[in-house]
Amino acid sequence: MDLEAPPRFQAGVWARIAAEESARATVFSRAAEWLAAAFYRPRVAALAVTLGLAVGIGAAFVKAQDSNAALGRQLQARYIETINPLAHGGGQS
Amino acid sequence: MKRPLLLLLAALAAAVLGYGIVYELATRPAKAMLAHPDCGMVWLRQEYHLSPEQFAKVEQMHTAYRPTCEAMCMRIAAAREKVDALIAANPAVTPETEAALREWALVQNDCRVAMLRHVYAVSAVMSPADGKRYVAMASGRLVETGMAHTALLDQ
Repeated sequence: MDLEAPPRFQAGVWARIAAEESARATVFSRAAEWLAAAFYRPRVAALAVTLGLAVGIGAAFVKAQDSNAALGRQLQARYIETINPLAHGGGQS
Repeated sequence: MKRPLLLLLAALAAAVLGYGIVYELATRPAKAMLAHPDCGMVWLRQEYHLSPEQFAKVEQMHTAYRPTCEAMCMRIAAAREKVDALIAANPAVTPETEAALREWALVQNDCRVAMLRHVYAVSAVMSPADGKRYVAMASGRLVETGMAHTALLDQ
């Protein structure tokens, strides 16, 4: 059996490939558009600012704990200085 | 593309602002305490949960102990000066240097005993748990003699 390709077969194949490529490109560009549009949504903006605030507050608590511990050690040393005669330098050994 | 960047900056600003405010509020009491002229006693009151009556007693004991502490301090300084002078004057260890070093050690010991007596007396005013904690803290500092060696080496 001798089959013949329909007329303009090759052109049809290329057209389908081009259409698929363009569809793929559309998916990517749509995703990018969706992402960009997300930033314009007030809820996303509020979420980002809230997240930033939470991170800042969390970091401050951790750092403040360290600072307060260091300040506590300084205060303890100040108190000891007032009751320890050896803490005034004359007792260095 | 401007909007995402602005949003990022806003989030960053919120983080910095939140950090600054919370850090300042959380460390303010300790900083204020350190700036107080009698910060050691203020710290003691807060750290060992002293009631106004307990604090008044401790303050009274502290004031009464001060002349003893100052006298001890002067004795240590005098003994130290004697040791320094003998070391500077002699090329080797002399019996006088040995005696001066012994005297210096004895004075230091007297100071430790006096401080420990005061510490026990103060702890008796506190609640048993706080008193125990206070004795542990203060006795831990008994062996400290002025600046640490590392601090001297750093200078």
